[in-house]
Amino acid sequence: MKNDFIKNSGLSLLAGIMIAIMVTVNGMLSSIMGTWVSLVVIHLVGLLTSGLFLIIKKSTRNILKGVPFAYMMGGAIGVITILLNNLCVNNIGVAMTLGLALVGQIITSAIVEHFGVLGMEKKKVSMKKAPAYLLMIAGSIIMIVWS
Amino acid sequence: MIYSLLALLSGGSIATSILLNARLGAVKGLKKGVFINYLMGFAVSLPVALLINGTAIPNIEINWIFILALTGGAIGFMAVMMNSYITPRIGILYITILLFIGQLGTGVVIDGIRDGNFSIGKIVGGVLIVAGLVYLLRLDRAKSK
Repeated sequence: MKNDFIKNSGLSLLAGIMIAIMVTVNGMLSSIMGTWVSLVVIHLVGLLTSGLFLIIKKSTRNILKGVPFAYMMGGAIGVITILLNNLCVNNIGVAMTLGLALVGQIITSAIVEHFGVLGMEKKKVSMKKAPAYLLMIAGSIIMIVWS
Repeated sequence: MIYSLLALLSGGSIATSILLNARLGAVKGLKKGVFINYLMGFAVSLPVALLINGTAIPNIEINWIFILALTGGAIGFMAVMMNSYITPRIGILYITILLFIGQLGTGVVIDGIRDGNFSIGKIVGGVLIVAGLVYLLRLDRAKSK
């Protein structure tokens, strides 16, 4: 149990490092190929990589069978994420792009949990959490103003 | 300022897609879920690019920087796989904290190398954001006990 926790924590950190590298190289591709073509290429590379993985794992049957349409929208929303990241990273840098994205993510998660949408367990936002949100907002303002 | 707002908005899109991708993974399994994810992304981005850019292929010089720039989709594939694997095991708030420490630390280093100097503002701001996250986490933990 404890070993699992350490392993998963390490994997989480590693995934974070990979995301920062990914955002950087995607921004590079965007400046080389242009905003819109780079979006297609990034997804094509991801599609080929994951497709190859499915072939290796011999798991190519019934890929789209029984998938609720709403669940497929994660990939479509991902296009918006990459587009926004590419626009930001070449202008305000990697750290600020990811730092502010994190704050946006937390605010969204809080809204999602507060209303219990998307099948999440309902957790009302309480005033007890106010200092946490204030810290994050202060951190965002410092990042924006002091850099 | 406009880019700061766009970065905040991208966070909203990340939270939404993480939730949907976790559901997708629960129905189809991790491997197929990630494939569907990129398939949808490709299916959406291709017509948009054709509409805006037409069929003209940008003139690019093939060098090592270009090849490095192409790896984003593959790195993203690995990161999404890891995300979907870790999230149900460690909880969305916890993974968010650790992911962020990894992201911001790496981001500060990359920016520092690119700009030639390390921004104290980014580090201080980042530490405050992490402090806020940890505060949230402790509240959630206390409540579930």
